[in-house]
Amino acid sequence: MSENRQQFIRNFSIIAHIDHGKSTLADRFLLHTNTIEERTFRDQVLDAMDLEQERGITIKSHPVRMHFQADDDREYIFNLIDTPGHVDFSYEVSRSLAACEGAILLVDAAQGVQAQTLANANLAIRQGLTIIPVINKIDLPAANLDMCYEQIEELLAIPREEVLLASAKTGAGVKELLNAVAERVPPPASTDEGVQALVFDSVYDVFRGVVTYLRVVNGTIKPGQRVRLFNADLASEVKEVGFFSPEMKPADELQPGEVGYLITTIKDPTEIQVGDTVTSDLKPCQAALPGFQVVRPMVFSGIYPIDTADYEALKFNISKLQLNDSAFFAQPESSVALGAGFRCGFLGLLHMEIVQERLSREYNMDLLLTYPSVIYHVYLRDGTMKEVDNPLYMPDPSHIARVEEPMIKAQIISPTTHMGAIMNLIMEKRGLCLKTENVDHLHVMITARLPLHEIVLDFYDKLKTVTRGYGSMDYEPDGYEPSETVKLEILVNGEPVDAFASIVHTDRAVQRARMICERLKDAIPPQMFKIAVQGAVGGRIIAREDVRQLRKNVLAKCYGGDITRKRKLLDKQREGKKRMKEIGNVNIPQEAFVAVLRASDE
Amino acid sequence: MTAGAFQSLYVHVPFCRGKCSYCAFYSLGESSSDARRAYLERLEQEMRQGAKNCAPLQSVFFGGGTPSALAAAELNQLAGLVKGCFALAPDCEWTVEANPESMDEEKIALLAEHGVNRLSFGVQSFSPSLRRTIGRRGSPESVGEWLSAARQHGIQRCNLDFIYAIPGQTLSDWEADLRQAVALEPTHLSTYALTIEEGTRLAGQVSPASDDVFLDMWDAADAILGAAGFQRYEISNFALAGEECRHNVGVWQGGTYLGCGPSAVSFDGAGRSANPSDLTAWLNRAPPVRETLPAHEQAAEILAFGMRRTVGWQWQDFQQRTGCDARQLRGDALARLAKRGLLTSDASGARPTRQGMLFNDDVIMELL
Repeated sequence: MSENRQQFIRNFSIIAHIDHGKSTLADRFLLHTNTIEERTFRDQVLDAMDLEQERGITIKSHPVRMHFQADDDREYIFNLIDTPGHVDFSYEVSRSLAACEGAILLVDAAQGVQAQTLANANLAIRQGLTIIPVINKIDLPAANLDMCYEQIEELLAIPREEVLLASAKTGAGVKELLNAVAERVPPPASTDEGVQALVFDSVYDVFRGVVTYLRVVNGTIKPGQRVRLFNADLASEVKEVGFFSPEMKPADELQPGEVGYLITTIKDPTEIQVGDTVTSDLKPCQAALPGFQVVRPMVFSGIYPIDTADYEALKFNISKLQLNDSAFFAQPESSVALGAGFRCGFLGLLHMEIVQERLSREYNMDLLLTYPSVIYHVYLRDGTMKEVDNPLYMPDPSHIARVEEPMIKAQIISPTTHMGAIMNLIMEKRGLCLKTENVDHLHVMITARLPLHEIVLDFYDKLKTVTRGYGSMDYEPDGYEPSETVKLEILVNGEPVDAFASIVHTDRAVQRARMICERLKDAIPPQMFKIAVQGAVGGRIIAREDVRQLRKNVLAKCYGGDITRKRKLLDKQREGKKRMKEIGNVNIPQEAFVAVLRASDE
Repeated sequence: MTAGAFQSLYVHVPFCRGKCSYCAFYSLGESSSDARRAYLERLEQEMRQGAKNCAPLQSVFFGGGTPSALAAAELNQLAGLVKGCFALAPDCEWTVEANPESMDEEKIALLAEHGVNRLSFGVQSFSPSLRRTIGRRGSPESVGEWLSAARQHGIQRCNLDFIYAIPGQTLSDWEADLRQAVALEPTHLSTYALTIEEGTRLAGQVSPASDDVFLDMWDAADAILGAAGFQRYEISNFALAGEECRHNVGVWQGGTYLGCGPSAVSFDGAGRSANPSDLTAWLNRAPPVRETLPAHEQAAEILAFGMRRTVGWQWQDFQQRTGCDARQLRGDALARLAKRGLLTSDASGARPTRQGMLFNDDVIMELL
């Protein structure tokens, strides 16, 4: 590609808070540039997965190449790199943005600037991208342009004159927006450093194997070439390169500034990490493109099939999910109470929910998830530190010098009227309010530091409740802090049930122990003998309930026909018993595990 | 186990003068004389057919429903059918169930005439308020009169049925019922803890009595009836020495019986056949539902349900009945039950403990 062609490439993303219309706008671009035809148009083409469409969120980024005839009579090549819309995926967002020179910042005309609008805008600004602010959904009756202008000026320091207006739904302002991309976003720059291409995503395609999404920065990449993943230090051979238009279309080569895909001889999707640099194997570049980091899960939970017979299916489906989600970690684990399952790691709460939902919905599996944990830093008396993300591996309290738990810094935007409730919530969740700022005369932005574990549990749901749905939140990791953290064990008839063990803050231990004991007391059928259900921390009992004692279990009348009836009833009970787990001589039905593990803390 | 000749006969009379709220048996609260005529006609065919597979009967039992709800002429016809169709062993026990309010001396006389030698009256409770709770019609006051009449006509053996652990019933209410029952000098007493069965009017209306109340009442029955010479010989049944209901003992011991009438069940040693629980279907000769078990499972079932009796099983009797050695068949389960304190066993046999009676479902579950 000539220097001249490169001048007409525009690489950009759309960034927005959830539901602010990002995918609708992307679809509108595809239609306007005739990249797809009206008759093949399906709402939100880029959100391929059902779950994405249903939840209205994009999980994975899907690049697409468009040809745009601008008002200056020149034809541009637009590479739109769609980004995930949630904080859990902020690393993927930042890698997608690193592949761009510009970003369209979308603000919902009725909702205004929300926490993720701000978080994503800050990511883009930090990467030096040209920002095109757009107020979307201007056709809504509730649209409040003045509010939006004020918030954009106040929070993002962007003058209102730069802001465009659009409705992705009706198509209004879309042409102007595309022209603004051509005008304002700079063309990609390149140097003679040797081959450098940024990996901003990688997916597994059952037919073609591992497909890597690339933004070429310097040099060209073509089939037959020997290439090397710089950070992974892994060499392979290029089998195919091409563009997304929007489906994969092979090309002769990828040139500087271009966005496309790469298929190599690499078979294992886990070997390709988002953020890595592809370079020439023969003449490698001196340094990798900046910003690479290995993604580490932050939240952990055990996933078990309710029916132990589903284990093999679960194993298969987890490995299938992992092919397209390198951030999803899973390794086999077994529980005395729940049988064989997996210890899984997730980027955050939403990520966990998505994985769970995909497993249970797409593969129709009934699953149990154990109490979520974060990674605790457990400092032992011998001076060493142990990372613990599973209550099973929590050392004995006598060996522990101190425990530190991961913290996050949250930015919360909400109508000012709910500020008091939010402050209370932050305190209740062991947080500290660091700063409050006015967003406009009706909205406030609160910056707070909170334990990640509280976020994982129910902070976001609570925030939505106390702000009647108007509050939004974004967060980023913010180091570790000493914490009075303990392992809570639940004992049935004196024996600990591993599936119910959890790592909790000491202030929460009694409340949680009582909640579990109460639920178990009701969920375990009455027994012939007195059975205690206890909560214990370090051997000390902090809660106790007794399972109702059965004094009789006998049929009053049993004559001819009753025998058959009774027999059938007992057969059914016996079948039910097979699905129970025997712990401490007590048969615990599956429902008890469900009742406890699916319960919130209150 | 293999099929053998029927030793006993059960006749289900599906008619009542009204349905009690706790009743889960197949019965019709109202019936026309036409329906009853059709019933007797079909019954005759069924009996003639069934009689071909009968040994001289050791026992006959008319249950229901309420056999005494039949008119005297109908009852006469029914008793006549039995005698016309079957050979009765010389000491055959012949029981007829009755309600005090639908019984009269004429019926007692004609039953005695046919050879009925045992009557069973459904009293349930003497307390008017508790009777209302369980939706029991009529008044039981006449039962003393019928017992005297029965004895006058040569029917010495009489049972009274009672229900306890009724919501609202106190221990002293129950003790009063027991004392009043004993005063009537029956030879047999059945005491049934109220079971709130699905599909009955009582279901959802009241909640069962607590286990503690149940246990107190269980013990009161042992004490009061024991003092009057009655022994608990099965979970819900008491009798004076030698007055046990032979028909039911046969059922618990895996004996064979022919069942006639809608919803009646037959057992031939190899399997059970259940007639349809619907008068019309039965009149239209809808075939019985047959259920057979593999021989060793059938034997295990007989072992299990025999444990409802206080005497449990003598190994020798069980061997004779089923051809199986109980300890080979279910040695592990018997040992577990002994360990749990539900059974005691020795060289001659095994029998439930008090706890084993109270947790009979657990005993059955292990042995099945």
